[in-house]
Amino acid sequence: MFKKLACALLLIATLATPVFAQKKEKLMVYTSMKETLIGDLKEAFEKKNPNIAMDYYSAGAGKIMAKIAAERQSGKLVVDVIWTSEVPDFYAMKKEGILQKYESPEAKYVVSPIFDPDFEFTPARLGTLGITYNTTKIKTPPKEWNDLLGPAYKNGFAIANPALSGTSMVSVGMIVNNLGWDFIQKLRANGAKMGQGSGQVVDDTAAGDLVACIGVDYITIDKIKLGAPLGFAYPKEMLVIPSPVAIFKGTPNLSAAQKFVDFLLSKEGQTIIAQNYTLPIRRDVPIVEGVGLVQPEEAVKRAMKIDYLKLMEEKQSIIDKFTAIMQSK
Amino acid sequence: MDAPGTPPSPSTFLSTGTSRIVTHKKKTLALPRWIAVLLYLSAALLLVARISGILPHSQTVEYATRINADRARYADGIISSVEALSYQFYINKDLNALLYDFSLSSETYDVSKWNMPFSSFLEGMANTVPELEEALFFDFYNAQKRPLTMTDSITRDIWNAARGAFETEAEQTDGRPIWKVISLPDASEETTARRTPLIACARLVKFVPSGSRIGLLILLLNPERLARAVAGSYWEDMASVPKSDITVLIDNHGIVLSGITTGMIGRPASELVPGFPIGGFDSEKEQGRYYHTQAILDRPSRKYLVLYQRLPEHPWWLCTVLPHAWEGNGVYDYLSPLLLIIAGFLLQWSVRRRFFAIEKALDRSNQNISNTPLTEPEAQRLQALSERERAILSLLATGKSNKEIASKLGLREQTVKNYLYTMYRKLDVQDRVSATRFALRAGMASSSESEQESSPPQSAQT
Repeated sequence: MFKKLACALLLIATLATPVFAQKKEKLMVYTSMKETLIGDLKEAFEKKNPNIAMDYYSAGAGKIMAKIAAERQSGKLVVDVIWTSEVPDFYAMKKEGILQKYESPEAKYVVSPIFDPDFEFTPARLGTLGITYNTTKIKTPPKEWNDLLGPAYKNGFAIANPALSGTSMVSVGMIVNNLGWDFIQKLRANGAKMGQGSGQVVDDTAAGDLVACIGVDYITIDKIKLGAPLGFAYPKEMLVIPSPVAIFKGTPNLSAAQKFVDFLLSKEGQTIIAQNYTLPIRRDVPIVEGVGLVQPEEAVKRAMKIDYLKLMEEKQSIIDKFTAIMQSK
Repeated sequence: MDAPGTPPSPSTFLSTGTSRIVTHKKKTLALPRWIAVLLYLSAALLLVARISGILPHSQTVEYATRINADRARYADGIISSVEALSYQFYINKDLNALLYDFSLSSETYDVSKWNMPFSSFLEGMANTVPELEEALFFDFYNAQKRPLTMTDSITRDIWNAARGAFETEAEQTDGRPIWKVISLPDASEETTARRTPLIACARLVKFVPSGSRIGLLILLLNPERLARAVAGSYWEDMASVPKSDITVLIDNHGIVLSGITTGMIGRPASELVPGFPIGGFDSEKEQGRYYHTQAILDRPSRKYLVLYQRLPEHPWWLCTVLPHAWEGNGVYDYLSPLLLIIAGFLLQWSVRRRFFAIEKALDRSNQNISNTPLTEPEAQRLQALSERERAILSLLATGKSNKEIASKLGLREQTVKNYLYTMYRKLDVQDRVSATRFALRAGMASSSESEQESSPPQSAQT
């Protein structure tokens, strides 16, 4: 009799456990990081936090901001965490008061050119852009910005659309600030074009539609590793753009979001970032040698200067002017 | 009864004694036999039910068929909404004009002017059709021109595969949507995320006012999203649910468009659906089911139940393949009737044993009891018994139970039992039956209270 009862109870228990065991936390991340990078991070993060089901939407910063704007206007934010390279957006969001303050315990290891004392956003990567060139078409790597005005690059150079790509937006801002609109005009005079997304211009260069472009470090080096005929070189003045991460205020998945930020800033997360051929934001994590990257200290020294707050104000006008120049005859 | 004074004949005692035993015998056997018959009957019914597949199966199969029909309708809904989306580029004047304008331009690289509205429209639509992952529009007449794309992540290996898949067919379709599975080239420059085949819907777009061909629109679906919609998302949530069934969406060429695992996409349906007919199912029938034994994938040959449902708006099928007796192990189905049969046998057998034992003892009694007087040693043993013991023995000989003996003599039942045990030893008999025989041979039985309490040890000889 007791045996039967025990068996029955055991059966019920085994049937019931799946229902209780799978109470997962959810997390939605909008990021402009490409699949190669965010995919690796998601895998490691979910392994470390088996209770969290992480989903992400990977697109250019322009698309992401448009999506967020639509969600906000319609009254329901689906996203918990945003991670892009478009720094002015973060200043703008901070100004609007829609970001959640969170000082991660890992934040003290972060060394970055930008810093928010309120911890409404924290840089999670020190991104760099250089000149990505097709090795079958360009034999000597460019060293100066002015090299791009030469005949080798005629009608074959492109910059991604700043309305779509955050890195492109900030890059254009930096170039204009340091080399002036004049330089942009000269590029256009040499036949330079505007491309689409930051991944696409690198793809176009690899395919030979372009001879060179302003390319993101990890996107280019990853393609080189996969065998594309590409080279990557930094001109003297570098484009160094930190990629901030932020949590939205009022998110229902706050603890999962915080864990993700902690993970990104942790040594493990930063190592994954570094191994994907970009620069980590922590100094205690080494970069990958021999692929064309420079040490973070050197990058910061060579970085073009920019006032992000001013850039935030001027963002739309810069995009419009750039587009107009690049589409002019 | 005989006249008083005549010692009662042993046969009398015998008959009364045994008649009591016989009645007892009848009582003990009647009930088990009735139960045994009931058990056999239930076993037979269960077996019949299992074999013919009527009983517990039928509800589950009906349920599974309903679910299959629902999934088919749902899949049809998704397919139809994707086609409706492609139709927007005909019916929406602004979109139609946008594509026409794009086709007129000689710009081959910087297509952002048209790409922005194209992309915004589709990304907005991706909210209502979440299975939509990517979209492309190729200028028909200018192969050098970059296509319009929905996202800014899509790379040329995907475009080229998509364009190549539809190049020839699209021209011939006269503007109707066509569906295909597109396999991607192995040497992808992107991550493994793109290796799974894509499901694509392509449509030739014409400029409505003039009818001239503008280009090829291709909408790409996320195969996992579609599979989840078709197979049910509970597969992901309930890790403990055995994924033993297969649900696939099959097009009119017999190719799988969607299934639980993306590895199924693009394969011929005959590989996954046991007994899939070469030309597809008879399109006259809306739905049906059949059993078929086959080895599919890497599983050993077994019997499967196949449910099929035609999609309401498309000449496609949704098939669900279930291992036969999927709600339980086939062996256990036959175990319960088997156990019942065994139980019946055991019951009958144990009772029959007892029956035969009693019968045997009675036979012996029948043969021996009236003729054999007590031997000298036996008589001595009888003499050695006490008054009380003898009284008990005589009552025993009449077939009285311990309880009855006890009440008759004013003793407790346990006391009677104790006396009997001692008696058995003293008389050198094994059990009650032997003791009864002994007593009868000694002529000790008294059948009624009016009769003498005990007879002389000498057996009565007429």
